[in-house]
Amino acid sequence: MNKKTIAIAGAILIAVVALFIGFNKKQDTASLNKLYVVNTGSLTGTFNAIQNAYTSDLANHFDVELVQAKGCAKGKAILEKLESPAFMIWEGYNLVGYKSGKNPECALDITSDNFVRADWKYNYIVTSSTSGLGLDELQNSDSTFKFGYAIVGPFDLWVNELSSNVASTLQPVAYESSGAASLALINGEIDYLVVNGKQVANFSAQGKINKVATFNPEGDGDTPAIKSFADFTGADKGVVEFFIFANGSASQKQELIDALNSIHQDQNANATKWYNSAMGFVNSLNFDPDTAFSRSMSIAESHLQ
Amino acid sequence: MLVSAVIGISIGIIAGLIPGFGIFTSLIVLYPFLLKLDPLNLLCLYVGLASATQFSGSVSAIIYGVPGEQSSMPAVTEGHKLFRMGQGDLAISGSAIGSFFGSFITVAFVFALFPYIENVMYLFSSLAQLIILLLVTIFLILSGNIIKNTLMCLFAYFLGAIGTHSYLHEGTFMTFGNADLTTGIPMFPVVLALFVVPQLYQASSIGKHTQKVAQDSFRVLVHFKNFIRHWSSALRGTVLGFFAGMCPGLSTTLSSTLSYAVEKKLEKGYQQGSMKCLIASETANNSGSFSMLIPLLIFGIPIVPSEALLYDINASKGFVFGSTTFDMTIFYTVVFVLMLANCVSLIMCWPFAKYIAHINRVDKRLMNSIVLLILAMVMVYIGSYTWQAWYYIIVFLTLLPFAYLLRNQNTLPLIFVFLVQDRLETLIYRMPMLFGIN
Repeated sequence: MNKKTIAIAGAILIAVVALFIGFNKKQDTASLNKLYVVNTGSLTGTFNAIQNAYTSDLANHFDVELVQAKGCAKGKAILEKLESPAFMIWEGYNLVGYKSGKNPECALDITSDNFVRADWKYNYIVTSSTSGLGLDELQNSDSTFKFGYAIVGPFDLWVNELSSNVASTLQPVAYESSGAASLALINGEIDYLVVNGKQVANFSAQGKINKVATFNPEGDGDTPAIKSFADFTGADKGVVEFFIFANGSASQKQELIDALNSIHQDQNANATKWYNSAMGFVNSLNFDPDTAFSRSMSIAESHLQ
Repeated sequence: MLVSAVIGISIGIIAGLIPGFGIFTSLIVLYPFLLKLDPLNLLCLYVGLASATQFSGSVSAIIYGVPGEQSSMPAVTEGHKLFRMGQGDLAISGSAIGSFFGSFITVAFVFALFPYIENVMYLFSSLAQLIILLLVTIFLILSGNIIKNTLMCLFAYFLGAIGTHSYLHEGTFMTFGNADLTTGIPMFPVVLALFVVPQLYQASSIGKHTQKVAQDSFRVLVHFKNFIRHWSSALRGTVLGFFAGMCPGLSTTLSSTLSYAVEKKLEKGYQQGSMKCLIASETANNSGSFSMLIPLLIFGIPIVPSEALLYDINASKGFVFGSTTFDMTIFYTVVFVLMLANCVSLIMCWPFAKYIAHINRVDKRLMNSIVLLILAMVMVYIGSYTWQAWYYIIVFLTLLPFAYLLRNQNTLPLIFVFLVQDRLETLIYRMPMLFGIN
């Protein structure tokens, strides 16, 4: 390459960098116009599905751009660099990890200021329909079972707690997404799995999996509550997923909450359809803000104990 | 359905030509439009897009030495060398006919295996995935200077390990408290510095080549004869690509790399610019682009990010992929779109191949400069998407001395290990848990 080519290439590169950096500058406007939706989950998991649905619905209210962070560390890094308002999903177990000092890369505090809403999830313990396993084997067998989960953070501690409350020994096995974990259950790699209600609804309909127990303390039809056979902190609390708002004012946050409320009231909205086809999700927007926040924190902190 | 398929094929051809764009980004860009399509039309668009991307990714790899798709890395190594040797038209037609051939065989394969297709999924346990990845890496290491390739793979693993621990999601490696480093070393600057730059250097060092083949041999028969000479490579590529295509997270990247590594090992007196290796890997990625749909269609399990997006959009419309919704109408539709995409690609390759000689006449230094400049701009754009433009530039510049050191090496083993490092680490960490070793 000759000097002239290098000089032209360098000049164009600098111009392009300046242009892109200029694009990302903060918008100092009173109302919420531009909104970044940040997915901190994997590209094949439930978080991505929820954030994609929200992105398309929120586009009717704001100028929305979806950013795939692929993990909590990058999500947090993006949030720190981003100067524009952002709406981000945050796994409750990240908060547990952060508060227990295990995961400083994902150290992001949830406060009433950045809290928008939460999903309280009553996940399920399931088995493959061809495995011949069920609650009896889990409770009474002296066997060792491989127990899968797709929740980031120290969820293995929860599995160990469950293991000490039943006769069988449970070996925790972590997966990168609920889809990968479900595949492992179906192909016989693991014996039991904790998974969210969306996956349960899908694979139950196909006859691939059987429900064994639920986090819901009331049980779910024929499915008993985990609390009914294993009494430990966290057995009946479910898990929580936070949705937070950053880099904006209180009034902008309220605009976002109003938009989310209208989305969840619209039966044709993508997010509403998504939640309607899942099981065991409770939307905190149905509660007053103080109750929603305190209950969400209580669920997360219960797993710290 | 035909309209959706044609739109998908058209966008796929464009997406494959843009490095780093790929199927997933195409779907994100098209997202508002996709929401308006019914499930079957959406599937047609997706299959057309995924299949056409594999083909056009090979064209940009062969002509410019730039991988449009991750699965086109072997096409850069072998195809671009062939292009520089004046056999670009044969390389493109060989890839296209191979893709066409591979798709037909794959469809026949699926028909034959249909009663047993569910059992195929059991092959893709974590242990099977780990063994496959390690075997491909070993094949790649053995396919050249073992010491140099091993060192490159170790360096790639080290680069991939930088950042947050991919399995435990806690703890970092070599991040020094820097927020950008916690997010890991980004893929694009690594591929650009350690794969594209050495490839362009090697290509530009080839002497003034003959244009004879490209100018005089524009006859259909010549192209078919070229393919027929290498039919066994295409068949091997089809079979390997089919099974590897169903490997979660890797799919067509594994299909093409595995077939490439096996073919390279089998070829006596291998020299870079191998038509056999090119045809095997290109046939394999098309075979894989079909087989990767099987877990989604039959089990409702998306194994690559683009499928997850497709799955979610359809789920929001009340259509969930899986055994309850799968029927032969869906299967025949997929087969039809796949064949259509391959026919379009095949037809396109001939007029395109005709002009290869003209492209080849452009001054190599000028062409390399233009390619590098465009790629640098794409890199900055991708970086700016996550507010990391400067980070991407710094990573690229930091790796340039290594690119200089590796200027005469085939760096495919390095890039493959870097791309799969996350998955490899996850699988390695999972093994003790699965086997009850604490």
